[in-house]
Amino acid sequence: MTEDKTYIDELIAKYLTGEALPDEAIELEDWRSANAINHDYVSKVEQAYRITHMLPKAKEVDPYELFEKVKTQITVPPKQNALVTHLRDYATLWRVLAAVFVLGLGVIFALYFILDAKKGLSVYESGNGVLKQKLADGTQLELMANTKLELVDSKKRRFRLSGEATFYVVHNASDPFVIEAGGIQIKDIGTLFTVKAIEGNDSVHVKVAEGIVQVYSASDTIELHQHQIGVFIRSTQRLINFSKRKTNEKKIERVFHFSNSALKEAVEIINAAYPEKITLADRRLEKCLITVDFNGQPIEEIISILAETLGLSYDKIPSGYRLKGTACLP
Amino acid sequence: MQATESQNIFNIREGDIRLFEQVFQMYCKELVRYANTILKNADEAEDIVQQLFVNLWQKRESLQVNTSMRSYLYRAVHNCCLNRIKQLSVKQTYTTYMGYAGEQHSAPASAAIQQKEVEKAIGVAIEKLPEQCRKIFKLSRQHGMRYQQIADELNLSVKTVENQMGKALKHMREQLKDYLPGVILFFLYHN
Repeated sequence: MTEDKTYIDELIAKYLTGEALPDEAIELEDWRSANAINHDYVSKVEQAYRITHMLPKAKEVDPYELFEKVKTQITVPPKQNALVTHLRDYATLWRVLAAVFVLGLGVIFALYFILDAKKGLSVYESGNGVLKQKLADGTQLELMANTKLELVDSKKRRFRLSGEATFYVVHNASDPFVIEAGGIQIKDIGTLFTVKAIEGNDSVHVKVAEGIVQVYSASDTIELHQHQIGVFIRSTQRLINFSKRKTNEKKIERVFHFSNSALKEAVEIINAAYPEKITLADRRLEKCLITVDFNGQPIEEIISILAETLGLSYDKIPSGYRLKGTACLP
Repeated sequence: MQATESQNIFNIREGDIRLFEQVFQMYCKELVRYANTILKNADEAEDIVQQLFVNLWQKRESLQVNTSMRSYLYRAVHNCCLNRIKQLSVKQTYTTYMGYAGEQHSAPASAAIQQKEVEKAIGVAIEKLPEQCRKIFKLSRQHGMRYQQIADELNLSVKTVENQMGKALKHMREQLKDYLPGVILFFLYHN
């Protein structure tokens, strides 16, 4: 990726004016999603382009709703019909016998997976405690309280998570370990990582202790390395990599946009980016809602803005700051 | 192309609707965004992407992807948009843009005042551009001209137009920064 500013400005202009070729559009999308500052820069130029060229505000696309429209126009063939079609093509008896043999193997595999499911291996629920589990492939799971992990594809290592869990994945390049959680997909590349996707929370957190994971949202992709944290903000559909590997990237991590977000989520995201930590004096404050933008301000300014916006006050404590008060309680 | 991606393409060819949906969910937003930059019409952009995936599924058995799936989809969107533009004249498309601006008359008085302020700021910002840069930007803004058309009109290379448009948009972003947070309100009345 060329980082020359003139080149990027030209690329943005080409993209916005509809002149960008496919590879250039991909290059710009990759540059835009690399970090929050790039994202903000492109958005601002786009806004300027829209007002100067009298174009309406970009429409928000709902991928799920759009796919429903696609589904009404396509036919998904039942597997039995596909099998019959293939059988018609077989010209010789030995091919038919081979097909029967393959079918037999398929039945055996199907029975294996059905029995596997009956043994209760397809859904893991921790209930009120912590559940530790080792899978057949050697992968180790630790599910925190009130967490559910569901196998969504019996032939692949594809899971759906609701809650908080840590995964020590045995990597297999031909069968990647994939987790769907709160609007994103997380794919391991030989890893120990934790995913926190609490139902009702505005953010999903992915923290990598060892190795590398790739995280996908509907529109962005990030790669997280050891000791990095990725956060997906559901309300804005933004996927952010809070890199802690390079000190010169710290400013990049400190651009936040909170829109009607729970204070708990906002504080968690801010805490991931600053050495000083913000704590809440009263747990009820976690539910206060906040709408505010931060663009790399020092933590002293952030705590002051948070307090003023919510009608709270704050104390300096050894670990950072403590917000207190009751004005914002629902 | 990575092994997992070729496996995915193989699985889509075999009729894996779940995987097909995942590919759709993963790329649909950025593809619609890209189509919208070419067509300047959000509904048309959605239709193009929607129809692309319908066709992709219907012809999945003959699907051949030699690069990455993402590149393949971007190229397909690009081709579909160019075909669509051939069907619609540039004039019609531009009339559609202007239609949005025409709705401003129904906006409340406060929005109209704000709009006038923004228009004034745009005018001032344009006048501050260097002469050649200003000419190029005006041809793009007022006449909806493409880079090649601007280059032909002003007897310049397309590369020069690219460079000047990049500078112009950067300048407009800086000059209009105080008005950008208001853009959301401004366009509320245009949708």
